[in-house]
Amino acid sequence: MELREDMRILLMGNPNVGKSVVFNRLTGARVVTANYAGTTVEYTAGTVVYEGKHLNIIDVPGTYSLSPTCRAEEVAVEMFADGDLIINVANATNLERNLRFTLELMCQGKPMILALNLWDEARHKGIHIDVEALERELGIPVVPTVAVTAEGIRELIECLPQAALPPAWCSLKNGDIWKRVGEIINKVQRVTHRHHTWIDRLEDLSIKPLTGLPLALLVLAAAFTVIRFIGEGLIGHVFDPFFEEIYRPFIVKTVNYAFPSGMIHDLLLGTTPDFVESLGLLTTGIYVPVAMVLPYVFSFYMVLGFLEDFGYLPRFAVLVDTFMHRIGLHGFAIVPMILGLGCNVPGALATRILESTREKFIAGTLMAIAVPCMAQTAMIIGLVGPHGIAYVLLIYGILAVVALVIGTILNRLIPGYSPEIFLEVPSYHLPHFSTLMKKLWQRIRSFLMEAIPLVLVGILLMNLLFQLGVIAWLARVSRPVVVGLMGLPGEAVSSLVIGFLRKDVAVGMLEPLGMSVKQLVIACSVLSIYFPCVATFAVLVQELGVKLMLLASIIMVGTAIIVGTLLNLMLPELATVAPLASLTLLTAAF
Amino acid sequence: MNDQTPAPTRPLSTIHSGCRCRVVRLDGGPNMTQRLDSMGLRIGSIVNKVSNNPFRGPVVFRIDQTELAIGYGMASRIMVEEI
Repeated sequence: MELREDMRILLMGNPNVGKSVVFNRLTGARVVTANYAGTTVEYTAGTVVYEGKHLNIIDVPGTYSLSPTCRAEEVAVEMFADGDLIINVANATNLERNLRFTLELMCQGKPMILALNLWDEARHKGIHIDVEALERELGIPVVPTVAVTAEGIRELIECLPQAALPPAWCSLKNGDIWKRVGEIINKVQRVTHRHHTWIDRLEDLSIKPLTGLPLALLVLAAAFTVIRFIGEGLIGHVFDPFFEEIYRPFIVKTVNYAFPSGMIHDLLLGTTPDFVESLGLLTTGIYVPVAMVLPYVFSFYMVLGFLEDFGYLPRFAVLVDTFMHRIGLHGFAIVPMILGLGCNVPGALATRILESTREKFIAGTLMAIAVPCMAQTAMIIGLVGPHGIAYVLLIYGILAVVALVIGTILNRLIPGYSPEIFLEVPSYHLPHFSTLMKKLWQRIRSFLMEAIPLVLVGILLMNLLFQLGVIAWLARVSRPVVVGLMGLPGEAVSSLVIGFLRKDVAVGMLEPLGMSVKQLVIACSVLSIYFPCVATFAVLVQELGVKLMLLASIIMVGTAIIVGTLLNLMLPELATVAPLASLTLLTAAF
Repeated sequence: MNDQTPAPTRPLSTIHSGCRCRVVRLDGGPNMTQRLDSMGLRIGSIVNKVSNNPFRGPVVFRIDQTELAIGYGMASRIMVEEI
């Protein structure tokens, strides 16, 4: 067929067959990929150049059939209607099931190519597929690919003009599709026996509850240790020395030279020499996102990227399923929550893998309330950590209890029921180092691009609000709640205001207030609960609609006031404790 | 198991881990049947049970090359016979 520039080429296939990896290879884009179903929930468009023509190519969320069961699959089916040429990406290690979808697509009568991805993996597993025979059987071009190493991608591009309309027999009814799949498989696929490897054994061990639950605890403990070790190490050995010894003298000298004193000087450098307290654009504005938050964002996404690509998350989801049902969700809802620990924005988007509005509402509300993003966590560690890491864990514990209580209440009050888990569990893959690094860089870049401008705007706004006396006014108005109920200093309200823009700056604003450990714990918890940041808010409005988001907002603010008050009444005064003592404290608490 | 007494039909949720069985009946609506069908599970399919979870937790099994976790409720509506 002739290729035109206004054509829409769609990459379609079952979830987790590597469509996004193929897309990245075809277009040079950097779409985030992982080893579980539902990583892509929105479509992404890019272009591939063929003989000087720029062809539109679209990465469509994966779907098992053309009858959608969740929002991400709905997107896929909607996209399909407008497609002119379909590249059906199939998992060569699981040809039979993937062919069912291939035949379903073929019955729709659009020009198609079949890409057999994970070709290397199939060979490893002793699966031999006769590509020429498969082409003959299907009547469309078939190209084996290994997208992670770009093998077969060139052939796939060169194959585009040969995309063929499916042959006439393709008007099969549902029952006949499996019969036809069976016939094709018999002719083209041969499977030789292979011995079980340690990876196969690990797959089983990590999903059976008896061994899987202890393993899950081990994975969580290891993840947190590694994240903290790398984050702290980077701050202590790289970022702090750089900012103290090179960056500070440099900017102080430069700014003092250009603006010896006055408003602009104060705006750029602030009024105190402290990086966190000064609220200068070049001091706090750069130091907080880069030196305090970035190291933890880096270490978190490194660990998450590994777990994602290895294929661990779906197994974890199965293990926590029973528990998650108590809060009105099923196990796979843990995946958006885990993503939310990095940044709530991708977390909120990922709620699209959930089937019902009820689930999306509960998951979105709970995430906004109880899942602090890495930016916030990093600042909490920076601010509360010096008083004892036990207090950081106390804040997390408080948030977990709040999630449990609110989740249970929502589950009881909202009509409907939570659908059961229905989840394909992928095989484990040893991640490719280069894929991991590309993904990490992609996430770091989007953090820097999105966080730094917002941090700067936030600080500018804060300076303005202080100057205009708005903060003083707000402190007076909110006094009964903030001071009376939560026992916080009135100025803490400034942190709640800025928390709507950036939670990291908001936590930083607590530092100059000279609060007690108890007040810090209350303020950090309330700051997490009361409202999501503006970026998350926008995504949640888009996903839930204005009405539901209004309801969610009322729940958030209400919860924040109740939790703040209860903590103020229940918590004893807390003393700074040494790291070793905090361990004992924690053990005692359990 | 000899030919005269066919294996009793039982829900997939009650099968022990590690057992092989054949699907004989699906006691669910078209939605469930269609969803399972798109994953490769239909009447006559051979299923390898991987694990059960306590408190009516999810049921994990393998079908061809696919490992699938489904809720206890759906698993108890998939009727199988051990082979």
